[in-house]
Amino acid sequence: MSIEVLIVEDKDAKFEAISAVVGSVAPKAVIHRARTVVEAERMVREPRWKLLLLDISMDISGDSRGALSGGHANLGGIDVVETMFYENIIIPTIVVTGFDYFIAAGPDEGTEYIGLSELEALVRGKMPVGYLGYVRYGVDGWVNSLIAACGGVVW
Amino acid sequence: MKQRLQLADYFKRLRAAVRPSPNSRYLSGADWRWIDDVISALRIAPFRTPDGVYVLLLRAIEERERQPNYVRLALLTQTQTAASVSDFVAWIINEYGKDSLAIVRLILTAEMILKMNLEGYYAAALAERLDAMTRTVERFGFDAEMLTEEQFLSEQRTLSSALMIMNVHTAQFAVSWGSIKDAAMLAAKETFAAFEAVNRVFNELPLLSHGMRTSALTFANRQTVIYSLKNRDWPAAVIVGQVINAFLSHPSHGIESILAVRIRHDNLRYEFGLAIDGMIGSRIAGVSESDLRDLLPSFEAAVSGVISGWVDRYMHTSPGPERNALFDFVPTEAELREFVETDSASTQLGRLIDRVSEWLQARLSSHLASARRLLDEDLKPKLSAAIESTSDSLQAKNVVPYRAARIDKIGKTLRSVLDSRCDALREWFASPLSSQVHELSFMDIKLAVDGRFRSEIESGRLRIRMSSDVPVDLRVAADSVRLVFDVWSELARNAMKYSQLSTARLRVWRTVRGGEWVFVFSSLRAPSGQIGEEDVNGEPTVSTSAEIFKSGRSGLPKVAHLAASVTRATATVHICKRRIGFHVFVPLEPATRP
Repeated sequence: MSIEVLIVEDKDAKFEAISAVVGSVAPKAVIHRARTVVEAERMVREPRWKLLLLDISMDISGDSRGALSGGHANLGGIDVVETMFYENIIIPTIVVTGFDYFIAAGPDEGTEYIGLSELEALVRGKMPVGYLGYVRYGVDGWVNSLIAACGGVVW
Repeated sequence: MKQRLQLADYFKRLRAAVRPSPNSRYLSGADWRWIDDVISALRIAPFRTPDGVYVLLLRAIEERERQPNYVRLALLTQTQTAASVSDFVAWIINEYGKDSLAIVRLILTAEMILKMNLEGYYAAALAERLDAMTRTVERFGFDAEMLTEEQFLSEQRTLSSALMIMNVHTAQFAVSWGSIKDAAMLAAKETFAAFEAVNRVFNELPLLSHGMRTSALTFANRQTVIYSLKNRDWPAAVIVGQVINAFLSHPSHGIESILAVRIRHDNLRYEFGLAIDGMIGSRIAGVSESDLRDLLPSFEAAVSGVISGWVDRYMHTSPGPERNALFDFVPTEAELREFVETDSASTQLGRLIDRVSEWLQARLSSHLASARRLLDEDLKPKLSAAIESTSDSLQAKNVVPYRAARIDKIGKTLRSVLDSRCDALREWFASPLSSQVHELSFMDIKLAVDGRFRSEIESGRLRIRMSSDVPVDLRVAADSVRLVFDVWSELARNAMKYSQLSTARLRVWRTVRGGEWVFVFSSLRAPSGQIGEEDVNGEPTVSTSAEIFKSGRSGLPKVAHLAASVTRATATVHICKRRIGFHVFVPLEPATRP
């Protein structure tokens, strides 16, 4: 039986870097990719994933034309986490993000800032089971952090 | 089963007893902690009924949550079976009656429409949202609790602003100041009422009112600054803070949103990446394509680090460790004092908001000038240094002389490619002229309509072309943008519906008819239709929202009424059906100026 891993990531370079780390930890893993919120929400409903590596900021749909033209979700990864929570989907999950803080919809019309620790609290709250931690992509030592987080997966 | 029946009964009773009131947010009396416990135990499944969805909607309103995923997920069965947004709205109207006003307004945002996978393109989702609101208002009228005329018009302005910003500007910092001011007004209304009351009392107690108080203002970007002001000036200072916060945190037009989504989200690096990718297919004398493929990734990695570092350092609103936030909009004490002392005696909230808004605009222009300077004076030299050091380290590893020469050539070429990309990217940081956001060209409207029908265009079902005889400087006034966009969209829909060809072709051109300029929307059709001519008249209406509702739901009468609203006079739309052509002559000129 193959080990199937889902990486939710819109940026090619980051996807390749993360894939390489996963490949080094689990050489037999078959890696699949979702690039958008809509794709990711559809794919997490498939009952086959050993591990989910989740980006946070991404486009909502493949056609929404990227960050410059609207249709971008700063916290798209949280949409995916919430879908998993409300539909009771449990997958071992590592958040891999390239940002230190995010702007999110606040109450009413405003927005609010969410730092990595608040983001983690948000994810933990919606993922009482399965959450393996977060990795700040691109900083010194991120590869080792990701390898360590992957240690929580029963391959 | 028993548990589910009890829940269903509770949901039903709650729905019967409580109306949604997003404008006043009356408390429903529902025990949301208990509902949370239910969700923790059973998740979303019990809520996937119309009553369950309704209960979750009430929760979202009371908890002031925007775009709640739990409501979207509770609606999954309906959104997955609906063929279109319009289909889904029909279900909402049928199921929830007048409460649809609140449901559509709160749930069917452009982002939620995309997440529900009911539309693929943002421009289309925006237009669908407004269509959905229009349909519910058409059916049930406005409602003080759920959707007022003012709120509807504000949505309409938002769509126009979004269309402008999405399609017109290469400048990434085009801001709809109208939307910022609306948000500021909403936020500051209550404070201003308190300010007026306090001001009256203070005027009678000069000793108290002139006393100094030192206190902190916390801004939406989490910066906290301590100011010392007279007691009587503090309420005005709070209002100034609220206006600045509206600009910092507005979800679509706020500076943080612009920086996060348009700049920090890897877009700048992506632009440079495109330039580097472009080098692979290009010819550099003495360098083979395989050299380029082999060596460029090392250069790209170095360049990429420099760009990320530059973005991380400057493209922020609040300072931080190793961060020199360029977009600082927090006033000094002297600046704040100038606002509040000038306006403390004023009872005009609008005037204070205007003054702060002007200050923000000037400050933005100045920051953008600094950003352009930093592109030249900081990023360019850093990119050059990174290229040079990569070149040196590659040459040290490749001792073969011919190889070293190739590395040098690649480095030098890359440097000039990136220099010119830096120059091009200055446009991103151009100061948008305020006049640009007040009106659009017809080409901009065409691009917006292209966005609206993007999936039809990409699948080959529709082709839209604008003739070169439409002057490029012909503009559409801001208050007519949506009307002209709707005329155009309606005629594109018409062309697809009636052309009977696999690809509906719509050509838009301009001519004189009856002594007046008119726009002509011509489409080809299968050579079988009826031949003839007819006129359809439309009358202007007194209010902007009435323009939309009076126009009816579809077809040429709608076009005639929209045209009358644009021209602000009775408008005659002339229809000319030929053997293989269908031409609609629409007067749209008073909305324009040559």
